[in-house]
Amino acid sequence: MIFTDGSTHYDVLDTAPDASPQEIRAAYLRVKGAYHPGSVATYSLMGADDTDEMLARIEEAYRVLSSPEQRKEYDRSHGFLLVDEDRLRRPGPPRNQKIVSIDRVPPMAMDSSDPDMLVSPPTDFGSNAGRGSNERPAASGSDLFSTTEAPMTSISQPFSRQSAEPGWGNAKEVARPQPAATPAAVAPPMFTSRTPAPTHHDDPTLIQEMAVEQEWHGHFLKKIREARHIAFEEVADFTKVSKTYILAIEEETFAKLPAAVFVRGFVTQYAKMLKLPHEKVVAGFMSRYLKARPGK
Amino acid sequence: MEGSIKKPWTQELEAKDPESISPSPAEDPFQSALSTQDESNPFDMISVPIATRVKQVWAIGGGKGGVGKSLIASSLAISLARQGNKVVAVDLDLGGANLHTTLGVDLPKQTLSDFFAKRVPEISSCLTPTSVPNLEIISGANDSVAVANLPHAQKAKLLQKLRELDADYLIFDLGAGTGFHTLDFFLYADINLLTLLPEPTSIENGYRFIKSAYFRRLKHARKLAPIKGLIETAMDSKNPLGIRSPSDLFKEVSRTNPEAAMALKEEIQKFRPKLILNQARTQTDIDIGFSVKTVCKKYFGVDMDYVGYLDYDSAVWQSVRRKRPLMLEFPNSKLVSNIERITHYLIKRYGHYRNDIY
Repeated sequence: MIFTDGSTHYDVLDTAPDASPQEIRAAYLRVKGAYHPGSVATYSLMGADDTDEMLARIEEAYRVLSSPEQRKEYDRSHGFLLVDEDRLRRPGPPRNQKIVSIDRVPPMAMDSSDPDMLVSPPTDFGSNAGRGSNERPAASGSDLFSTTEAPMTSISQPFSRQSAEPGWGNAKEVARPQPAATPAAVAPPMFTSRTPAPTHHDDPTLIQEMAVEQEWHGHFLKKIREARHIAFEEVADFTKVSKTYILAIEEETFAKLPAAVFVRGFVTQYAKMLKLPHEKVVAGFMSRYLKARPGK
Repeated sequence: MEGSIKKPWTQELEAKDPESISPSPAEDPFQSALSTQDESNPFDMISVPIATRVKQVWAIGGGKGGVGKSLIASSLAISLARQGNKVVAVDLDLGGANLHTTLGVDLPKQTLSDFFAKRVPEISSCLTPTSVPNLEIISGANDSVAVANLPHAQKAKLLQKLRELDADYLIFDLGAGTGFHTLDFFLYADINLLTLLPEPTSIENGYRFIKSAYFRRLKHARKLAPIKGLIETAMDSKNPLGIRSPSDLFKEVSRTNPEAAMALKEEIQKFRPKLILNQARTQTDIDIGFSVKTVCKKYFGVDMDYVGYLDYDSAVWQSVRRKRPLMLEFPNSKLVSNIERITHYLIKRYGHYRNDIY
């Protein structure tokens, strides 16, 4: 706890972020016992006010961490979830499935929400839904149904052409219920078409600069990001941090950022996305944050 | 070092680091206000011998008097000796030597004072056999009354010579209180054991001991020389900067010097005391060990390993009266199995850990 400016719930319970629910409970009981009023373990170190405060934090930490949904949400906003893990957890379309006969696909629930959707006669198409691509990441959900390329011409050769958004060019033309119908199903494909870590080949001078960098200012993060042609919306989308905060981090307008414990998580995620030494980045950034906003 | 014979196989690994800048007393206002007599860093004076038999040094301290340090030290020594190791138990309670009594050794012929006064050629002349095979003691019985206020150079020489003894394990029985010799002996050891009773008096003194050892360690860490002044300020809990706890100190350092903050964190993480809870009567008492461990982590940032507890045994006083080692006097007691369990755990978990080889 002394090394983090606002300790995380895991620090408060003195347990690791990957602890099982049983471990969380055992830790909670143990830590609660250490701080109960009159505990000899806090004698001479802390007064009643401090122990009461500590107990309140322990209760709050346990409240969040004992509930699976709340814990997941907490993990995400504090940078405990590895983004790859997050991807794996989402039920995506089967990736090894190259061809799905359209006969096997259940009919799409036709609703009137999208009257423009063209429904072609059923044909045996190669399924592009499951094809994980390693092309340019999709910038945002709004691009999902925009056909950026020419419509698919070679119907009989399903694998010959890779469109930038493989399944989605089809989604409009063909009745492909799986990706198009439900919002929940819309989300998974977006992840499969996006790279986990944007591949980059940095300019050597930039690499040199990154090696000697100590301060890790927001504008330097921005510089790296732009050098790799990543839009800040992509960062926001990938790290799940809101765009406002990403911008605030880059511009170092600390007043717009929330409490330190959250900011720490955001900066960690940003740094991890850019494959930077996140501890150093966070240390540098947080020292400036604390200077600007002491007492947080 | 005065009087020491430079043996060809010793090597000065602790050469003076030209880059470390410690503020001299004249420049640093805090140092003059808070310094004790020990400006010198005792660990700078100890060279590291290359080839020694001594595998590890275990030190047992506790802050408060009467918590059972000597009994535990002698018991651990006997336990190690019975496993076949050659053990030397050293009574470093300078001015309050009791270890010889707990081991049933009456009046040793040569003691530490003889070594300091150079009445003996080598420290090994002070080794006294005990009734336990493989176990010898270096006692402080009948020591000179001035021995508690040992000069630093003598202390450094003693530690170096002890490390060169022909033994597998050294067990240091430390004194009570937080005098800097006690702290230095504690910090020098590879395994630093802290003994507490589940009572508020002992716990308070235990925390005091941890705090003292902790700050002494930070104060003498070479990498923390840039913030030495700040560390010394923080040692006084009523300092003008408002640093009331190690957490405040860390925040203060992070604000001004993030790199020093990382070095500070590293140094703190190197401090790994191990807790033995003595005279436990109930499960609540045993749980106090866990509570202390948790609080230590939160308050000091120190990772203290709770290595074991010893049951309260109303027969212990009898062994002390008879001046016989506890382990031999009550071989079937639960205490013996507690001690052996602790010994096994320490060897298994920390058997290779060395503090002197950086």
